[in-house]
Amino acid sequence: MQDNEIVDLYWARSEDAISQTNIKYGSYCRKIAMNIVANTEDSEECVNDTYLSAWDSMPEERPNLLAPFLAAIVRNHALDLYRRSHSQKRGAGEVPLALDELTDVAGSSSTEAEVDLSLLSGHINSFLAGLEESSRIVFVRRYFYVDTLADIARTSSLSEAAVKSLLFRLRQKLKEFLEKEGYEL
Amino acid sequence: MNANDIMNALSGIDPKYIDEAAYELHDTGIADKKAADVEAAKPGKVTDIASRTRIRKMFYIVLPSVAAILLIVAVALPAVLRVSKSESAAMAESVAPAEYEAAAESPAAENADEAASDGYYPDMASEAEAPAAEEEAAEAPGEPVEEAAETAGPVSESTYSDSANKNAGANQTLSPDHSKDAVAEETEEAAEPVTMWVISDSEYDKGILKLFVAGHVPEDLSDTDCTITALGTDGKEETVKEGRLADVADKIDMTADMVTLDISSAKLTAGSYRITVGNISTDFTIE
Repeated sequence: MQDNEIVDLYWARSEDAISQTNIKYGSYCRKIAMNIVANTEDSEECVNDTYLSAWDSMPEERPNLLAPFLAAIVRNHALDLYRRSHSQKRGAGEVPLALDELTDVAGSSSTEAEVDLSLLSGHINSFLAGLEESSRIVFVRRYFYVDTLADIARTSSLSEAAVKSLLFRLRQKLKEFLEKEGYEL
Repeated sequence: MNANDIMNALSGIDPKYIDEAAYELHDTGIADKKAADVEAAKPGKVTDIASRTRIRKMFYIVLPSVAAILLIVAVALPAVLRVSKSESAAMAESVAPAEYEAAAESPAAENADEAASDGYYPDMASEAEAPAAEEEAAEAPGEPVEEAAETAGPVSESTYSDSANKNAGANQTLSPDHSKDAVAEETEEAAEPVTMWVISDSEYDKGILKLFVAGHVPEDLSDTDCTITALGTDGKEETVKEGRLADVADKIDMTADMVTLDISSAKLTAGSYRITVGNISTDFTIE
């Protein structure tokens, strides 16, 4: 079923919307959740929460691309669940590693001033727009999808060392970009 | 702003970038797998990045291989043609021995007289045999020239050069030394082995760079050219150190699958680097 047909089901408040979403994007959403929470039960919980959020957000929302829409929702649910589970201690999995890497860009301390996340998203979009497609995909796979370096290396036919080296350069570039946009890093 | 803010903000990036990187979905349009396969979920087909990278790798492997083959053909073919010409000339020579001997004898006789008067080479027979020795050397380029010289009898270099230069009717072949050198060069070029090895991964820690290798690694890399290049974030590359590997690395350890280099004297700071050994490169990062 095409994305617009599934969205039509949501708009029509048809229960088939959830089942069709699960058929088409269930595995995709579970993989994103699994990358973050590293736990089958928690990933299922995140995916179920995602379907509920999608149901609640439509009919107001009408996404053109359903996959990224669901990906963003499941990612947020997974990150929230991860942070609730690991608020006191450093957890296993890729999230702490990815966060450690991102401290190259932004540091680890929290500042008093709240960051306008939508503005920051816009700047990150501008940064991504300036990258080559292959570099952008590696960046997004690492920091949006929270893939392991080994998975990224396998799917991009690069060595892990090359992926690590590329991500290091991209983080440095992002840091320079955000500093030019006025962020104090 | 901190790392968590960036992590959160990434949820709001343009959906087209999220979709672009969703290799699970691209090839079939539907990545429908069972829930039990979540932990072992793998992409169904090669991604666009993988395809492009493989094409790029094939380009960098195939193109040099083709160039090497063309180079070998370009060098070997003229040599083969030269040998063929020498052979056909030698066959023509053998058809007209009388003319050859007559031509060889008359100026050679004069030369022999002169040489004899100088106490040089009194033996005419050895002079006549000298061109024959040259032909044999030209006919059998794979054989050591010493064998051909032995069959021709003891003749010194002077005799060869005298008869080759002054004997107008004889076969104007190259001097034995020259053909000997050419033959040795061709044998060397043909016999030069083409070794292939690759660096599959690398690891850097406190001045020690480990290169995980595969293929036919040369036994001794000490004299191999090596370059360490710093990779800037702006795409610029700057050579940090270069020279023989034995000069670039303080210590080289080699096993069947790993080359360990002590490059602490390079005093590399945090950043991204590329090391090139011969024509093999890999990137590594210092954090």
